[in-house]
Amino acid sequence: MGRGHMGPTPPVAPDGEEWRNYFALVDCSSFYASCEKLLAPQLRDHPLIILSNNDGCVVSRCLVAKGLGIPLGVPVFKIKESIAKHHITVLSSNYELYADISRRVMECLGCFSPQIEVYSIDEAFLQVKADAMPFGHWAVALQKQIKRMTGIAVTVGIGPTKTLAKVASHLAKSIPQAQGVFWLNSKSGVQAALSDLPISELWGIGHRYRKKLKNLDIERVQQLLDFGEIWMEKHLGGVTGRRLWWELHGVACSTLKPTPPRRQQIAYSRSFSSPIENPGELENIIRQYISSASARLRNCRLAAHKMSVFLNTNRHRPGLPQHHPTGEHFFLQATTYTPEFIAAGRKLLQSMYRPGHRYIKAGVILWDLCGHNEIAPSLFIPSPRRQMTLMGAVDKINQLMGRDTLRPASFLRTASWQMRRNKLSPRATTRWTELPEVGRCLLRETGEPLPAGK
Amino acid sequence: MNLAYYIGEQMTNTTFNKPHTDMHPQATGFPSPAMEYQESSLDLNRLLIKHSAATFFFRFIGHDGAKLGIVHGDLLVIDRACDPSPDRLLLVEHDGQWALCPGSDLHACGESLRVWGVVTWVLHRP
Repeated sequence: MGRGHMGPTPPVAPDGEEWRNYFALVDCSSFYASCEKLLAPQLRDHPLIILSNNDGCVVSRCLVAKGLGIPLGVPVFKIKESIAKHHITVLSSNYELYADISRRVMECLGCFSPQIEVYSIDEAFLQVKADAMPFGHWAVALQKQIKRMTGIAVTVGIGPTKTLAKVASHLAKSIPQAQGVFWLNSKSGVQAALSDLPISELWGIGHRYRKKLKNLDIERVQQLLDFGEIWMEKHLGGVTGRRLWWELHGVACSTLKPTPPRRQQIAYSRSFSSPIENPGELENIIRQYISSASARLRNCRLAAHKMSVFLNTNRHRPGLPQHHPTGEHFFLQATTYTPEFIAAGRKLLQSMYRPGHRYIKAGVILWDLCGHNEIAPSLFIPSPRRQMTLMGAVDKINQLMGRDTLRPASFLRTASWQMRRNKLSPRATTRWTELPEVGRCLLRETGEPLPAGK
Repeated sequence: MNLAYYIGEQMTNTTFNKPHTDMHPQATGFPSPAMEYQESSLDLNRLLIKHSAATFFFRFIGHDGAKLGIVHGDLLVIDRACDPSPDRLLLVEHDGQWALCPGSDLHACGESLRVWGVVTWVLHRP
């Protein structure tokens, strides 16, 4: 069928190999659900879904749940009946676990290529040379190794550009015979793959353009290609559209980004688990968000000149009084010091807050960032060195002992606004107190396995 | 602006016996005759963890482990990258539960076993 090479058998003399450098997109299958199943053998063959922040929507489904037709992104209350009927296990997002397993997967991938770009928690691009290895073997070995070491199944899509690697990744998942590996290795193969590919599978087309294309009745990638490079430049954001055209033709315009570029801003915002009117509670939330955002700021070795705070009421309830204020504070000298941010946040909140409104979301954004060692000294402000030392120590303790071990004394202990994670599984790889437990031994002499003894 | 920091409950039972500063002792008088022989101090991580991406910790609970010399509360170091063999102790999945099984008994103990990893260390508090 001339589409390319499917794993797991290695290619027999790839006909007309046309590229030397390839990108491989490695994607963990149903990542969140796979992490949960890895450490919960009782869930192995059962349907499992994972919910988003505040236990709202389905963000990950295991294969069994996919087979039952549970859609991604659906609010959980809409599928209550299916959950009961099929005895689907429902869990909150265990970010501590997912981050640790992701770290393990990425560490393993480092053995397969020196050039790797971690694209998201469950995806990475690897750069590989065609003459270095037959990709069929390479990708299958990679799959096996990751599964063996970390217990996570991955799919591998290989193409001459990142865009085409993403296309190959889609084919690796959607064609059963591919067994999770697809290599786009010839121009004819690329053409065949793109001929009936829906736009939604294309990498780098954002929400806005997707809508625009839909309005123009363009649903297939082939239609885009038929319009040509100039049309794509005009209608898909100038140089971005042009790049996309070239990438789809096998000319790499985008390379790996091994080190993330310096961030423009650091934001921390969340919806509350229930609406809040009380100013004291709001202040407490803002403090918590500031604390998280500023820890992230220091972790990136940055300092901020500007901070904004915003509040939102529920836009979807037009009957309720609406208020969506934003406030900004400028610091004379860029800072990394949590108490300074908190003091400014309190002032902003006092000027923004309006009684009688039910707020459902708040956020904190730190702007105008510079390197923490680039803070310009000021005549009127003492050197920030002592503050930085203090914050460094606080961050270190919190990393070692768990989030919020040390926190400003103005924090309230329990609060109703905290992220709701009612069905959280143990943080089995990052907390000594939550390790998985073994209680049985299987020995030949006993014949029958012994009952579990707690 | 000086908000006090207090210590959360997680830390109250712990005492730190660490020096206040990072010490790099340098003899100010005579150079140490052992200087050329100085090695990095022993690191338990390097002993216990051969493959950091594949190593997990489990806790043994209950009294089923007596025959294997494993008691309630022992910490198990599991390495998924090690090859299972008859002379090793394995962590297996059996009937949706975790269990330990000597490699030599693997086939005698039933069909439904799945090997999850190899127990490389059992850490026991006396």
